[in-house]
Amino acid sequence: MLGTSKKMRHIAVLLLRRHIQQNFGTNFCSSRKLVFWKTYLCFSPTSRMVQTCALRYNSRSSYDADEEDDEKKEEMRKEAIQSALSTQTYFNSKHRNKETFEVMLEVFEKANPTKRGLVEFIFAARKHLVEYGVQYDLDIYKKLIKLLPEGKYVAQNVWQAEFSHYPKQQDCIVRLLDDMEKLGLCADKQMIDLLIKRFGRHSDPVRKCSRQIYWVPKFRNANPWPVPFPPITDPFLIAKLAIERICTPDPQSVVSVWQSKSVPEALDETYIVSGQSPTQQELLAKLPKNESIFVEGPLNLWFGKARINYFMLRADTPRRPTQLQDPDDVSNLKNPFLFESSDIVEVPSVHEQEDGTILAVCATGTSSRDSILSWIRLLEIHGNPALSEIPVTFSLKSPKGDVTPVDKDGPVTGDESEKLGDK
Amino acid sequence: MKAAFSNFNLRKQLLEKTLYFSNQNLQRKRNLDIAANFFHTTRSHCKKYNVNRSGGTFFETSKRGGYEVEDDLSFWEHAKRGARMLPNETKKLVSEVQYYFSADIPREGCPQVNLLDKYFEFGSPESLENWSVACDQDYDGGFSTAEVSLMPSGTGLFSGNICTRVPKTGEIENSGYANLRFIPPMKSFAREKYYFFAGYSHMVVRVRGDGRTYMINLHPHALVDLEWFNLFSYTLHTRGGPYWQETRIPFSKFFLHHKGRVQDDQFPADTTEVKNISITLLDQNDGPFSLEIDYLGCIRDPSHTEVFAYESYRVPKWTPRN
Repeated sequence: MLGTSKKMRHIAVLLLRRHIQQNFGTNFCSSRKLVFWKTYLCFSPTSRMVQTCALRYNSRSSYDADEEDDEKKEEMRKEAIQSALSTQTYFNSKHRNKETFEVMLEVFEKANPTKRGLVEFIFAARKHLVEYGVQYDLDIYKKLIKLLPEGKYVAQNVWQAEFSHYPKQQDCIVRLLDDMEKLGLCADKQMIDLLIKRFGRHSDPVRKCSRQIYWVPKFRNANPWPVPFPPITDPFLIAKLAIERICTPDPQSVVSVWQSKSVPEALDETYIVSGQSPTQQELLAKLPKNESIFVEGPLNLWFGKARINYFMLRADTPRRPTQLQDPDDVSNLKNPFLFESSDIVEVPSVHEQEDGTILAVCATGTSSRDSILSWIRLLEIHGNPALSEIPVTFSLKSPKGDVTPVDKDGPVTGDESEKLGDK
Repeated sequence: MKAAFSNFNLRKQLLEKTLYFSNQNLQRKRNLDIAANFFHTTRSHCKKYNVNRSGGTFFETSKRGGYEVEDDLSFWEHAKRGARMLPNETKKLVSEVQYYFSADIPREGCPQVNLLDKYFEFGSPESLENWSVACDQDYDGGFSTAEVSLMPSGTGLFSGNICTRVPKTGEIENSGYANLRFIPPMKSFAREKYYFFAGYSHMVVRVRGDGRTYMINLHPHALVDLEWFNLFSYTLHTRGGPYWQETRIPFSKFFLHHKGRVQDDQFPADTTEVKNISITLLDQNDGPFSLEIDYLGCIRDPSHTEVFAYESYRVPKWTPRN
């Protein structure tokens, strides 16, 4: 009986050693392996370490779950624990959110009192931050840093500080901070305190942090057309903010939100975000009735990390005769005291550009041809009666799809175009 | 013709005036640098992942940081090419000397107040030769594409696609960039020429972007290997949409970075010797981009008195600068 249990234990140890070697690339010395396993195997020697850990978690959490939400959360936790332990591959749970991510960190802490493979674990965690949707969460970064032991990596003298004490650990945390920086996150006082406790004041991660605190807010607030942070993913809100941003050259512009349902013949039901200023309405009213105006699009616009398609109603600008003047020509000087009458030319508005007059811009939920048609009809109702007489030419490319937030992968398929094609 | 003194006309006149001047400049440039592009048109290929790349040495071995351009020419071919260059370069030298003695005082040092001087612009199909495009795909460092083309209205279009997928070579951690660089004209015998922007206070850019954030770089005149990879940059935020934007960036705002890492020890860019300018796209967003460029110029605004926008206090002794 004793012999078989010993054999079982031996096999389990071998298997887990191989797993760890494969997954974390660490080859630990034989003298320490017993210390490593003692902590788990002393509890119930016959069962595998995986089971014991899971059971311990179960027993602890059984009386906490009273409400349904808590039960769900507990189930998620259990599942995450199982995934972390049974395969020895962390970050492979079914539910991917902040809670399960934290469970991974807890399990690692419980299962590795010696902190073996910590650098590798943090590198693995870095890869899965986006998957678990915690990349904009400063707490998670702090928790990852808290895994490091306090005081162990602090340089004791000048030479250690100069020649990068525990370089792998320092480099690992610097990369983690670099990831934060790329997303626009900035370290705070608490994080610096954590790092000073772990690496000392004269270390790379602390220096990196202080640089971050100096530079990141400078660049984050430099944008004259600010973008919400952390990035929003609601397509409607993105479209609305983006159209507001396009309309900034004319402060009089009005951004209105319409539903395509309000047009009787509309095929698809979406929102239409339209931007037009009173100046543009006047320009439109003044246009000759026999020349056509154009709807152009879909055109690309980036709003932070999201990309949307927008459309533009454009008319050709009448060509002004351009005369190049020689500023050095002194043959025809003007006498300012004669009060010669001069031609009065109206200052063109911002909408009248060299390559066309912009009459309105819009973004729709589906970016389909039908929704653009409804937009033109709604424009006609809302203050542009001239549109009923002016011919409108649709110079549209094939619809690409609606607003694509960064979290969705791949472009949205053009279902709308197929529907229209059938009809 | 009776010129009107309305606001618009005045602005137009000013614009036309600068246009007139810049056209003159362009013509002069062309006369002076007929063979300027000769140096850029030789058959060449890029050595990828060279061992010369810095790291492990205390000095930089190459100005291009390992991404060398080598031509396949033999010694005799080189000699022949050099001989063929000689008459043209001599002519250029003669015209330079003639110009030096005949031209007026250079007006770069004392520009008119609030009058735009265009330095880098498009306009004709030939002007595309003055611009070079680079992206990570050129060096097998990624999958981005980029190109520069001319719009029917005469403006340049810098467009392409950014892909942040990292190639599985294990050498690179991040990828996804595109760069548009002006090819500065050279003096005779391939001597470098520098722009003198010290009289100006702002860099003016008229662009129509797509909402992305670009970067404008000033390439300094670097003498020693310590400063070969120095670059002064500032962000160029674009609005996006159909409207043009004219952005003024003060020269005092340009910050220093070395091989892409912002430095602790900051100092203002030396505008007396600017080698080149470039526009970079580095925001980690996958997808197409387009930036329509009308011109890049400089302007002097006497109300701007800032010398340097960033703190330049002394760092304590023995603090590693990097």
